[in-house]
Amino acid sequence: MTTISRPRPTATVRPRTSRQPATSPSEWSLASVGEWLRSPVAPYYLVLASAGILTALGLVMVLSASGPRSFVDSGSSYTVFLEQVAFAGVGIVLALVGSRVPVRWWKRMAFPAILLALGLQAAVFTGLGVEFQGNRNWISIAGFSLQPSEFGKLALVVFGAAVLANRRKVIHRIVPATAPFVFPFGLVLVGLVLQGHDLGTAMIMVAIVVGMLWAAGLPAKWFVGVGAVAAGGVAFLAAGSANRMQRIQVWLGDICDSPHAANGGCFQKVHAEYALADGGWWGLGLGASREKWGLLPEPHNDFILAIIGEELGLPGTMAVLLLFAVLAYACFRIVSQSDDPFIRLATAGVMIWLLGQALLNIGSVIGMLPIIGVPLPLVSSGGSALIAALIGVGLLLALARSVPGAAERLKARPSALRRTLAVVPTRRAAGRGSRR
Amino acid sequence: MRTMLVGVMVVLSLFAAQLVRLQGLDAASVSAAAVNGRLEVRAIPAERGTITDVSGAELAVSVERRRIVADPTLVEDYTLKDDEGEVVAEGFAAAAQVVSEVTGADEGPILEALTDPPGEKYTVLVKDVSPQTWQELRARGVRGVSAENVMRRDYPLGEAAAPLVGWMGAGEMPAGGIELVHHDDLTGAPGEAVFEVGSSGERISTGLYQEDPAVPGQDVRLSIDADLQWYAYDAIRERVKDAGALRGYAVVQEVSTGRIVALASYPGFDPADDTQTSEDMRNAAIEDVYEPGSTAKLITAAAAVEEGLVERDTPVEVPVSLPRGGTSFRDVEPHPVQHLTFAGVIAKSSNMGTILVGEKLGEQKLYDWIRKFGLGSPVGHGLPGESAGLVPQPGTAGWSDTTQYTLMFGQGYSGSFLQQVSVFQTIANDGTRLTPSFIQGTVDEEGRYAELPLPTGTRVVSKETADTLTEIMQQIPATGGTAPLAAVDGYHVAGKTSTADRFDETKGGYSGVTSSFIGFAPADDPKYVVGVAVQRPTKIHRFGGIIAGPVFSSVMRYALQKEGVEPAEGPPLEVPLEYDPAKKAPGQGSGVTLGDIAIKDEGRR
Repeated sequence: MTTISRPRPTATVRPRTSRQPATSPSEWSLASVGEWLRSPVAPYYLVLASAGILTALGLVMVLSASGPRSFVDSGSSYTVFLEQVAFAGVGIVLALVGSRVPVRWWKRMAFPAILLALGLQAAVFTGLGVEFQGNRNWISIAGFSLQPSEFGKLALVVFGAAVLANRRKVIHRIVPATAPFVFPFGLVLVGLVLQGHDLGTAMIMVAIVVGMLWAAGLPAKWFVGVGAVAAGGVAFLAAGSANRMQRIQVWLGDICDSPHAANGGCFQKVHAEYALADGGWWGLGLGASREKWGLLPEPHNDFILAIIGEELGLPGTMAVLLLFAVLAYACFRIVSQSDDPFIRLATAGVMIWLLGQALLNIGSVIGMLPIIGVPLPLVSSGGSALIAALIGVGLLLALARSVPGAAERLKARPSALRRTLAVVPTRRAAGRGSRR
Repeated sequence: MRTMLVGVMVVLSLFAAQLVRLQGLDAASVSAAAVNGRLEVRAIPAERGTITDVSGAELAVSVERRRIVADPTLVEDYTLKDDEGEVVAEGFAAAAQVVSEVTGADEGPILEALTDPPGEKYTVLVKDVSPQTWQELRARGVRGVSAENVMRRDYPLGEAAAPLVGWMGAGEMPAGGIELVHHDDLTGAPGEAVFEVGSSGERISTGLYQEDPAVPGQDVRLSIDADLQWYAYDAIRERVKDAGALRGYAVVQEVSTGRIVALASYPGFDPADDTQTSEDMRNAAIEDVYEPGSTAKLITAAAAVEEGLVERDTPVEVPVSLPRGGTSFRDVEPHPVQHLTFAGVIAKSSNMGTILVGEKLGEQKLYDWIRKFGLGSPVGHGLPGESAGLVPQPGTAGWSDTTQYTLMFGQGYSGSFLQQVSVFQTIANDGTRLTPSFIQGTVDEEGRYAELPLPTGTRVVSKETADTLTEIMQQIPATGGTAPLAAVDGYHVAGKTSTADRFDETKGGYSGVTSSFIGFAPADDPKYVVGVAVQRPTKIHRFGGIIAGPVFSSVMRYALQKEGVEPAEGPPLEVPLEYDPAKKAPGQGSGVTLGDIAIKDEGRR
């Protein structure tokens, strides 16, 4: 009390800037970051940053990991990489376009998308289909090969979100909740994928369907029954394949007769561990992987995380985990900030897709799951997977822009292009500047 | 939704913990196992030392070559494309076509090596190509085809020096000659490279690489002169062919050092041909033993002079025939009673004259002198396959009644070519024998040349005795001697012919002759001893002077001229070979004639 009336001679001396609140854009503090994270634009930028960094890291690591094999196969170390750059280019353009497409358009595309997905997936079994490494889930059109199931995941998400969004009131009843999302579309799509022997993709699709039903609010009791059926199904499918059983045994039993025989069941698991151990705490350095020299199978594909660990060490692998965590957090934020059921469900779908696939992949590489054979989203090489994932990111960005308050804030901040043009003294730039 | 996020975060945390375990806590031991699994050890062959002649010309040299090998399981996937990228051939056929195109090897065996490989992933396509050829082939990029470094031993002088230099047999093991004797010096220590490899055996460029470099072997410098070696080989080859002989040898030895400057024999063999048997690859000049014949009269003569039994001009009355030991000895050509000086006995190679002088020694002394001149003992030059020869000893089973007489003119015992040459070297070197040697010196891995010290000689006879014998032997390659063809224009030569009955093992008895000539020049200050022996000549003639003399002359002339030895001034020394028995003997009472004091058959036994 007395202190208030007491004169504070020092106050006038103290520089004003130091008493400025921490919200100054030029300064960082825990409080300012926290406040920024609570802002409606945070999910947009978090998605943009995490997906962007993952994609860039993926390109760099695909270049490194594919080099030796690419040289043997084609005489150039850059063949696989340059293809991947082209795919990334296509994917980024589609993602940017997708991020600007209004959400209602996305919604409208739901039905055509699922039909197209089913059509393409069925085409796998026509003359267009191509079998690769025992899986028949490729089609070849005009020299380009395409993996329809990757786009099927996206279609499933959009379709599921659009359908379930209209059934909020009846979600507790099983029939309206599951038709037509599960019966027939989801089931047929998963069935077609399984027919092509791609258990990994089928598992992701089932996860998307189940997760979206969960997010839509289907009562928990149904999941118990469905879960039992799903587990039984996976077990049946796994038991039906000697290869899959071997992988599961390797994972469970730690049996390893001949770690150096390429056809010994634990070859991949052992060499993934070798790669990670070679990298150690700090890594061997970018480009210095040993296991990519034909030792670890699929070094630029399913096992790219092992090569990241080998070359970039623990910081590299931790960064990948962190970036996926950020992506998951951003998705959670979109869901929690939005009231629109389509946005909430579509976000949940994309999150289940990307995060679920990432967890399956990472778990396989580090020996905590049987080797399922799914690529690491955004990072692994593979055109269809990368383009589909980037379109998924585009959808996420579009959804993030639709969070209440986000669009306004994003518009308020002029784009880099606009800011650059603003300094050019033309009538057009001046007009734009004055529009708000 | 919150549940889902929490679930994801929990799983990611578990993954992070597992990564810390894999990459941090457990990494060291797993990484060690990983590196172990990738390591490959490859031997780096050590370069074998070069064998050179006295002036550094290469006689045996290792050259780096490439052996083209392939992994058929990889070659299978190879496709050969033309410039437009059209596939023109595939698999084994394509690879065989390219390898054949580049190396010039036949396509058939290459294809066969691929279709029927000795090991599943290894087969040799071309045994030996130059590194340049391999680089060309490598540029073609045939999948699964690689090269191994191999060292090939080349012998620039080929057959001419093969028996002496030796050769490398299978498995990089030496199989004769200098290669065998100096194997330890020539062989370096192979090195070793340890490095990480990828799945198809390629070295991981960023991986571990440790090299323990190979230490190259020492170079060995021979006392051989490559030019002279070839010249001698050529000369003996021509003579053996012309004379229809079994084989022949020629040697050039430096008198004052005992070093062998050339040692050739014909027929030789091609050291690079690995299909021949060891029987074809003998060093006949070293390994053969035979009865030396008249060149051995030099030993009897030297002993007699050294013991003071005779002098150069001592008169000897050579009868028509000489009964000794139950048989009757004659000379090669029948003649009436001859009045020869001791010089004449040796110059005309009279068997009976030699017996009359030699029997004064007694059998034990004769035997001792023969051994003293080195017969019956290895010469000690160190080349493999040398035989000591066989000299019967008095009082043993090998000693018959006639033995002591035949020994005097070089029959009834055996010895090697170099033993005989060594006798002449002894006389040429004023009575001191030097062990023949082939090595001039060695060059270690740092290039330091160390000359081998000269052997200390063994005095056998006095300088005076040696001089006397040299004077006598100068009469032989001269008009009136037994070997005018052995004369060398412009030089005074001392030497001795031999036409020995040859013991033929295949026939179990005497058959044919060994015709030889051994001598040295210049007579007053001998530089070289040259020996030539031809076994079983069937054409031209059988006498040593006629068969071996011209070869001796040619080789000796070449050697002397190459070395720049001054030609002799004035005519060669002439000593009386005959005497007049009616002439008064010098230093004796009046009325005593040379005929009276002459050594003559006094009817022993």
